[in-house]
Amino acid sequence: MNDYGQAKFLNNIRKALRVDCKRVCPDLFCRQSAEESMLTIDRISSRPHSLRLLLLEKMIEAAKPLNLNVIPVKTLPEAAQEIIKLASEKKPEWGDEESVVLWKHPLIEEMNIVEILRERNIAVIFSNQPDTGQTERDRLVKESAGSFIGITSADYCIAETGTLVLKTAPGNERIVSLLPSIHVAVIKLEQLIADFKELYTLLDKNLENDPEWIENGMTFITGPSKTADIEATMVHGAHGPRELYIYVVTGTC
Amino acid sequence: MIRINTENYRDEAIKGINDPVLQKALADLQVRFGRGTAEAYRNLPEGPGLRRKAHEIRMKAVENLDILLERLSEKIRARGGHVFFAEDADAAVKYCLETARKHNVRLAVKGKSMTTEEIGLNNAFAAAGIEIAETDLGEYIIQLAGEHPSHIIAPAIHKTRSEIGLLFSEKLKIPFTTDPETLTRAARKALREKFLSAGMGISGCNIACAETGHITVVSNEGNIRMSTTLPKVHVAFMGMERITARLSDHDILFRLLSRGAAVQKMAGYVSYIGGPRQAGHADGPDEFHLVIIDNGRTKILADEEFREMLCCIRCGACLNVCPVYGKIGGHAYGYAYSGPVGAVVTPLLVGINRAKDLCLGETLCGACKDACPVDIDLPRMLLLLRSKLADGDSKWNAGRENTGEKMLYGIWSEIVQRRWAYDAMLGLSREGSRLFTGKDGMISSLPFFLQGWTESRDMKPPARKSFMRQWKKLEKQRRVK
Ligand code: SF4
Repeated sequence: MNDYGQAKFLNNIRKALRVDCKRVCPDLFCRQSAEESMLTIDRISSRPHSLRLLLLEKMIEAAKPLNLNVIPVKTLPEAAQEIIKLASEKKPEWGDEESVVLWKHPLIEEMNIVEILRERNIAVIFSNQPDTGQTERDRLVKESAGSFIGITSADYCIAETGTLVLKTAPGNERIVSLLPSIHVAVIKLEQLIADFKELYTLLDKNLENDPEWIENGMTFITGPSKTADIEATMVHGAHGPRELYIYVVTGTC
Repeated sequence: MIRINTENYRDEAIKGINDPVLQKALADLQVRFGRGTAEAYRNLPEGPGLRRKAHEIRMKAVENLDILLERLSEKIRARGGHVFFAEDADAAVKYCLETARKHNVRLAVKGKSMTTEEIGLNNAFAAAGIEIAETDLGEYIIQLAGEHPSHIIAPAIHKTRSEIGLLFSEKLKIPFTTDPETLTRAARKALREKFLSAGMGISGCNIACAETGHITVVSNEGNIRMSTTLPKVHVAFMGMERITARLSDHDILFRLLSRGAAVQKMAGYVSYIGGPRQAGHADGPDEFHLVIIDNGRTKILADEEFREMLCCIRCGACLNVCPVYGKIGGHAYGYAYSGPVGAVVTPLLVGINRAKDLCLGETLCGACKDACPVDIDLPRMLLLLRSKLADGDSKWNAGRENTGEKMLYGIWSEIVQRRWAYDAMLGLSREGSRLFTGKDGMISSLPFFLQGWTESRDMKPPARKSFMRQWKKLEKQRRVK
């Protein structure tokens, strides 16, 4: 059987380490203590609204030097209004046709933005139509590449750094946050967490329930695409989106 | 096919020192990143001591590499990905070329990866008539200019904006400009077309996760996301040591990597990739290949004194503080890895004697150790390499560099162990030095192997009477009184 060089390769490593292949290293994959992780998860889920708003303020501060726009809105329709306004202000980067590509996501559906966009003659592209074969992939790549705005949600958002955490899933394609000139993310305040420690505790918890939770992909996005490769001058929009807007729905209370 | 120019260290270093553009760029880089990184470590909530913790995490991974790689490949294969274990550069390159041929690839897009520089992938593809487009802006500039990167993270620091303007106007047929924004737009447009038409995407791997079976790629531009998402085939290369056990290890490692590499709290994009497009997904490549590379690493692993080097996450922080790199630039190091990391890794990978100047050139000031996000003791290993050059080491196939020096020190150690011999030698040198003392009472040139001492300065001759003799005389006089 062809093992693609694996057995010999790993054997060389064992020889170099002078270890046996039968050895066990019991704590190698051990996660942090269940107690500690429970405490963290409790703290996150029972964090009062006021503290979450404080996190939001912290994120707005962290976002400034990154050229990342974090905009609090009260409701989803308000977020939709803001996005429509944004779309009317911006011009497409490639070609003249205005199109927006969207994740298939409950939060975005609830926003009811599709109708309004269409009313304004802006084409709407959905990621992941029922037919997910090769043609669907090609269609999505082609259409997203021409879009000027891509709208996603996120699984989590980290206040300390302004980082969005997006898991790849059917309907939640990576392309949507990558190819369009402007990336817009809509999240609820409850999705905001303090830092990476909290994130990895939550991810560990998800893995415990489902070892394949991450499946084949997950992306952290911190600010718009940037480069400083020409005489160390910062330029936004090297290859990915030139601008990034995060709308945080804080609720009406 | 692989470019190894470590023998030209001296010439390239002199070239670097005499290049005013490079000197300014290096100085700016070191001020911006060098100081910023130290500050960023101090501002960590856990303090700079977190680097020690990171070191332990990395070391544990290195010591259990076989288990981790097995787990990683199992998981990736379970998702339909391919994993190939390459013992050397040739095997890795061959596998990638075969994959490209199988899919009739004409154009491949590549995200920055030092490992592919190490194995000489670009040249091999060029020879096979397949274009590889570098997509990191810095790398793209270097590729258009037909040069090699001079910094791990900022490959084009040695080029000015007007040089880049000229290059782009010639190669991309745009009007000449020196505006970084316009130049970046031009590259964005040119590379966009490549991303959308390439048949293969090539990437490296920052720190894979064994527990979940993912590689990770990190960038600020988004080029690596493009290369790993758009083409139908994705081939990722990883040095076998670039892995950690648990997902949560990434918390500390990525925070430190981002600070070390570019003084950021978190890099712009971090992607976890665990295989090809899944059923029901419209995203990602149809085929995913991971090539895990040894290419001399097991030898480093086997030597406990150098094993620590495998903790390296190739962030480039040590370059940004190194006084030697800061003067000579990256090209002198003659291989994929420059600066202090190159000075240790390159001799270990290509041969200690062959790359001897790299470790002899560094100053042992210790700045690199303080800058390293995973607290690698580079100075210790530089010293160790030097001792191998002095004493030879059959395990590393290292021969004594300078037998004369070795002999001389042997004689010296015999002399200093015997009082009478030492005194006799001092007496001799006192007398002898008079022969070379000029009218001004200084020695300005010594013969033979001693000339190094007087090449750039004059020396005072030794006193007529040694301290010991004067002391004895004084003692005698005191007693008489
Ligand atoms: S030795 Fe340390 S500082 Fe240098 S590249 Fe490796 S990890 Fe970074």
